[in-house]
Amino acid sequence: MKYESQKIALVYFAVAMGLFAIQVLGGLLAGWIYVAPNTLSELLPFNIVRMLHTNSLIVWLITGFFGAAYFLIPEEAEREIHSTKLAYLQLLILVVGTLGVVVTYVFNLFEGNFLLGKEGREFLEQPKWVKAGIVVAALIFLYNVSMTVLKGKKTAITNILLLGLWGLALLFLFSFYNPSNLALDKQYWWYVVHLWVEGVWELIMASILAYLMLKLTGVDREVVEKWLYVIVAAALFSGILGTGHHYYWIGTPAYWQWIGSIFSSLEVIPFFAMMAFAFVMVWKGRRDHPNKAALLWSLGCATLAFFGAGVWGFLHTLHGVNYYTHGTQITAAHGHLAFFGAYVSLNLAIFSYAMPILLNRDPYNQVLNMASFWLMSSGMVFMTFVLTFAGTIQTHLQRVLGDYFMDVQDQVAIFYWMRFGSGLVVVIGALLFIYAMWVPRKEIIERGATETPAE
Amino acid sequence: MKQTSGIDALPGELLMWVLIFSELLVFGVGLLAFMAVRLTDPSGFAEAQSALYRTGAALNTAVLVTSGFLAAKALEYRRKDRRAQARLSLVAAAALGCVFLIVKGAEYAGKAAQGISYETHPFFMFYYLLTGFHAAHVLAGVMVLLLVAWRDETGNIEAGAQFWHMVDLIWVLLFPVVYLLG
Amino acid sequence: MTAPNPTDNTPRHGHRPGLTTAWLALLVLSLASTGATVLPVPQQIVATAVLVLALIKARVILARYLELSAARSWLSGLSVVIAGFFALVLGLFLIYPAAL
Repeated sequence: MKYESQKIALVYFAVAMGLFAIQVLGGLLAGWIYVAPNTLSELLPFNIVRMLHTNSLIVWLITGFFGAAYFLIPEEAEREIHSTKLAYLQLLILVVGTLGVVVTYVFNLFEGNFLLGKEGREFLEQPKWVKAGIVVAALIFLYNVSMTVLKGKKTAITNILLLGLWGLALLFLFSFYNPSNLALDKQYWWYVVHLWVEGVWELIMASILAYLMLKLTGVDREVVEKWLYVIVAAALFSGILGTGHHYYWIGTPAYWQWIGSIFSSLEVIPFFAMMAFAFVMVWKGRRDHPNKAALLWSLGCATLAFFGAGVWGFLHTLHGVNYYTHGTQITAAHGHLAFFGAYVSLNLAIFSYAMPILLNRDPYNQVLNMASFWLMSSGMVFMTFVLTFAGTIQTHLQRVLGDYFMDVQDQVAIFYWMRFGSGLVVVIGALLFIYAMWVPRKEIIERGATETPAE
Repeated sequence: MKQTSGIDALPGELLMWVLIFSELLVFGVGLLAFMAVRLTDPSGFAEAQSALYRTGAALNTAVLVTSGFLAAKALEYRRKDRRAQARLSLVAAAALGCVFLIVKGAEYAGKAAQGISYETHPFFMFYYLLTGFHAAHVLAGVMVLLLVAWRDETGNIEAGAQFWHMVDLIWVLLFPVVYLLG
Repeated sequence: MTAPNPTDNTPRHGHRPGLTTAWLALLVLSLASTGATVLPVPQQIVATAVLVLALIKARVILARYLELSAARSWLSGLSVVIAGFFALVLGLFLIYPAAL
């Protein structure tokens, strides 16, 4: 660790991992409700469990991004973070807001209150005061990192990372508008979440991946930057109008079916480019970095993102296909592998890289971490296959033959059992990962032999 | 005379080429979708197409390729440090871009007067989508040309001209498919 | 891909008669393709002629305006892709060549 203020990342990573644990446990519960639908139906209804599962995912991923930014920006800009205090204040606001959301959701406090109650929406459900808190925290963050970068060295990695983080914060402002029309509500929700995960988050992903490749493979910065620019251009080109693939059935004019189909099909390209980038860098790289776990997560991230976001996304993005598959388990299959591949693995990769440095355990072999990679990845891939089969059968029975929803659910119950099993494997993997990050101290390989000078 | 290979062989800024390839891909797929949907109603498509004003569109082809010529000329002038001529050529190219937009506007106005909209027939949905998206690029291109006429470093003019040639190229692909194949 | 390209041997920078030739060629080709549509020949032949002319125009723009004549492999690659695109378009058209 070259800069003292990189330590900020440690607390962010801790919070992110805590929420990660809660998220996967919530997912496990939701998976159990699928096979035993009456579980906790009074106390903690499925819609609340699902919302906690998805929202805690988003929150921990963003917290991880913040941590990653605090970790890598000092090194890239070659100076300390502008204000350490502000960074901790920002985290405090986020934690209080998150707890406020959870308590408000679960106990449905202040129902109907403009400022304090939840908003009765499916996803952008946070009470207004939490949203305002998120914006304040984001502003603090942007001020803090922008000041650091402005005063320090500007690299392509920090530029793209900042662009992505600014976009992330600005797009969140759409969540304040709460139209009473349900179709409009969806449209504005997509302005937030689609333009996040298929737009600016890809910039964050590409820049963090580029940083990891730079550190782990020792390939020239110039080469990494060229790739980075191409990936970012492809992501923005396809992702922005790709939002159209959410407009098919919400009452927008029919031409959106073609805009959405064509542009969202091209969203495969940046994910393919990221995968190609990661493998070409490793293949070209001359550095044998001891942190094999971080490398494994990086390559896993690029690969699973390509399949989860790219291939599984393309499977049902054409409007002719989506007409039948919309909202079936196909969507769940895509959602799980895409988020796990692109953003969960990315966070876990930067955790794996940064944590040994932050905790002074470098160099570090991380066998347990690698075991957790295989547990989580195989669990998630199996879940994706299972849900894809379930979704295919569901599409046929429900959308083609016209069977009733609940009858079809009974037909695919076997898949939900298998999904629960694979979910259990993922949870074990996640808990193992967290354990491997924080607890063992002795997994050190021989110091010096494989050490290479930093770039 | 092969000195460079791979992506380094592409003249100018790499990102411009990423844009050019992406746009070609989008319009190419859009035009193929148009041709595929045509098969669901060939006579309806032919009838709808007969409502188009081919002469205006053919005129616009001439306008665009001439404008492209001027933009290419501008880069040539700039490389020889004839900056005033370069700027003049760029402004002239932009002016022809405006002519294109005026002709296109008249075409759209004519359609509107006949009560034709994107909902009239799938043909017109594709027609408005493809030509409208192209016209948006022409509008952007005019602004880009004026911008690089103002900030006239060689690299800027090269990138601006490349954008303009892309718009030109797309029109060359679009025009025969949408206007001529009946 | 054997599209005629009469001005290939011009240098990349400096005096370039190729540019003016390219412009005139584009104008003539455009005129020819518009003219082809009014010829009293079957639609299939008109369509083929129009698309071949468009392919040549695209190649002229790529080679001269976009200066790919200095990057031959890219020029050939893109030409092949565009030729493939027009072949697909023609194929889709020929399935049902509606006459006007």
